[in-house]
Amino acid sequence: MVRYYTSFFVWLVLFICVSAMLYSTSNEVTLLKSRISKLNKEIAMEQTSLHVLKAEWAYLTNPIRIEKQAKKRLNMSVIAANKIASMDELNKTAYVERRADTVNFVDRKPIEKPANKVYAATENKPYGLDKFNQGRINDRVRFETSIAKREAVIGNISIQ
Amino acid sequence: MSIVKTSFSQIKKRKIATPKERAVSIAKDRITIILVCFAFVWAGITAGLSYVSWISDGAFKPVNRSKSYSENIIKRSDILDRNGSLLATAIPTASLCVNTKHVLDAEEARQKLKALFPELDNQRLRRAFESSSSCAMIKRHLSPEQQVRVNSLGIVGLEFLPDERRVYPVSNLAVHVVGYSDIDNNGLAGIERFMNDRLQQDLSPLELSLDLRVQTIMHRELSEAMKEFNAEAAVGLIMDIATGEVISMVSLPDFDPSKPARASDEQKFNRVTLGVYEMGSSFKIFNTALALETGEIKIGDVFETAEPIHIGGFSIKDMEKHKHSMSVSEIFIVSSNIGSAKMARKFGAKKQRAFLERLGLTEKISIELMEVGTPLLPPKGKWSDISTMTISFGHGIAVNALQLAAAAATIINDGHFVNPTLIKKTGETVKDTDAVVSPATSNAVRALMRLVVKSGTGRRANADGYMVGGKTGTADIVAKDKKYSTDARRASFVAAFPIDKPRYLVFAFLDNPKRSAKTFGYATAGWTVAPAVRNIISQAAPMLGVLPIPEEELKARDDKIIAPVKHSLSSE
Repeated sequence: MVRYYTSFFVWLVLFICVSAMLYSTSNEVTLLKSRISKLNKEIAMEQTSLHVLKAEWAYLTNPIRIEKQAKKRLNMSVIAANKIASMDELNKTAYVERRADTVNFVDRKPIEKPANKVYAATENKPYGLDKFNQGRINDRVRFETSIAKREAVIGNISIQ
Repeated sequence: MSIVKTSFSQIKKRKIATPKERAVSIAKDRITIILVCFAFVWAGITAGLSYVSWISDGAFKPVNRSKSYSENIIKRSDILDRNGSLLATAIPTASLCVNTKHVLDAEEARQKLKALFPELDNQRLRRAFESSSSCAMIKRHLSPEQQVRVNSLGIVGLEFLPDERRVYPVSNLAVHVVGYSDIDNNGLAGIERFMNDRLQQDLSPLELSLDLRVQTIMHRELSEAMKEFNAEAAVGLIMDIATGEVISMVSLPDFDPSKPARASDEQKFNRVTLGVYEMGSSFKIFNTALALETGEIKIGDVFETAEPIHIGGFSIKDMEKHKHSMSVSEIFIVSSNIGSAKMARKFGAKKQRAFLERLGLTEKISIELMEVGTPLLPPKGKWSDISTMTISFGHGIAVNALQLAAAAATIINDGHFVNPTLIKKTGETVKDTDAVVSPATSNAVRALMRLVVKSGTGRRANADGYMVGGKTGTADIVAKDKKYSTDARRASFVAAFPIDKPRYLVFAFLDNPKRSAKTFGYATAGWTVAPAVRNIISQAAPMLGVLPIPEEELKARDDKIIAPVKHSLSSE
């Protein structure tokens, strides 16, 4: 008889344990499910507002609007051909600039290239890149001077 | 089974097995087997359950979500330009409907709604409140603010249906390409119409070949030119010569695609693809190319150009009186109608027609738009000598702007046919092996186009730092009495840059530009549309990856391109 009771007891305990476990797990699942659906709703809402914001962004960055703002607030105008340069040309310009002993307002070094090689490249071109670049340098010097002036003004303000 | 067998053998050994005992023994054995099986399953379930609840910590299998949630909400895909700027998108809105079964006081509800939305039609409102539908539509596409107001009315039975509405963030900038759609998001014009099924079925964004930045420049410059010369309409087009991709397409006047009902027919009319026009002297590009291609005429051949041609009651004249005789090059550069007509008479109608056919100028062009016009040309049997001569300088044949641009691009592109498209191309484009003209002819035409811009009628299109080549065209407009007007013209310009290694083709025209003091009383293409093309090229080229060239390099490249035709130019 005792053997039967022991066996019954063991099974009962096991059963209770497993039921408790099952209950807690299913409870957890229900909670998680409701959280998932809530999160899903939130994601959908966020994505919807993201979509709307993208449309608004596109509306605000409409080139015609940007152009108007740039003209009005930044006093910008259409870029002239001699103000456009590629990275390669800028490297050369940086070298020419140093050679021409122009004032260096910004602490910027030309990208590491053997100087004589750059020099040779400039010399070899039959149509005087230097002269062409000089126009750009002048523009930049003017630009950088104005920046330096503004920085000086800003510096004064911050000191006071 | 083995357990059962053992029991049997034991029973047999003891030799006490009555049938009853045997049955009990078998039953016991079976129960044991079942219990053991149960125990195994039970243990398995317990183990699994413990694993799920405690050990795995909820990190079971991650749920794989490939679909975006917004895709479930939005049912029409976006349209982008080639750089990913948004041209058309859909935003979720709500539509207001009423479930009449739940409405307590229909009359009060109606009055309140009418007060909130005065634009609602009384009759339709009444019908909605009398309908038996569970959701009778009252107003489409409410803004969030309007939704709040409706909610604050506190009317029972009003419901919001999730809806979506097409918006065009760049307004009228690309309206003739993108098009517009109706309140139910069905495309009514442009890409929206042509690609309606694609936009509804595939929710990934549709990338067009347009470049919004270039489109903006084109739009601005054309608008300004139109204003300056008081023109009635304007057209602009930029095409990638290698791929046929249309980078920019503008037709003015245009309209706001969000309010198509307010636009006039004039504004809705796509002058790039739907309108067919007599293009004038731009056709001399084809005439000269054909003349050189036949081999019957050499570039240095000289034609008498002093006297107008009188034929069958018509007379072919030049706008200014030119020298006594000119070479093929000079005829092109000063744009002599008389010279062109004489060249055409030499190779004849048959060759001309076949050539225009190969350039795609005799049939409707294929492009991703519904609004495409069919060219107007003399019927096959009536392609007379007069037709041949007038067509040589672009009269007596009407084609659309896109067609003309594609044909000119083909000539410049070493004769390889350029197929225009509005959809962004990915991957390499294979060059058509069957060339319409030889590279030598193409080269000669390019040289002549460069000369037109350097020293001919297109001087005002010479953008600083760029190798621009082009051809002016000033066509007389047929007035309402079906006669050519003497004071109404269509000024067009077809250009390519850099002309020695052509990458982009620009075409623009102004309809009926007026003379102004600034142009010294001229209203021809060279004075009106050429400066606009110069502005467009000098601003758009750097964006398209064509950088300005230093002056000396420009000279060297000029000399190189002009060398093959130099002998045909007079010394003066």
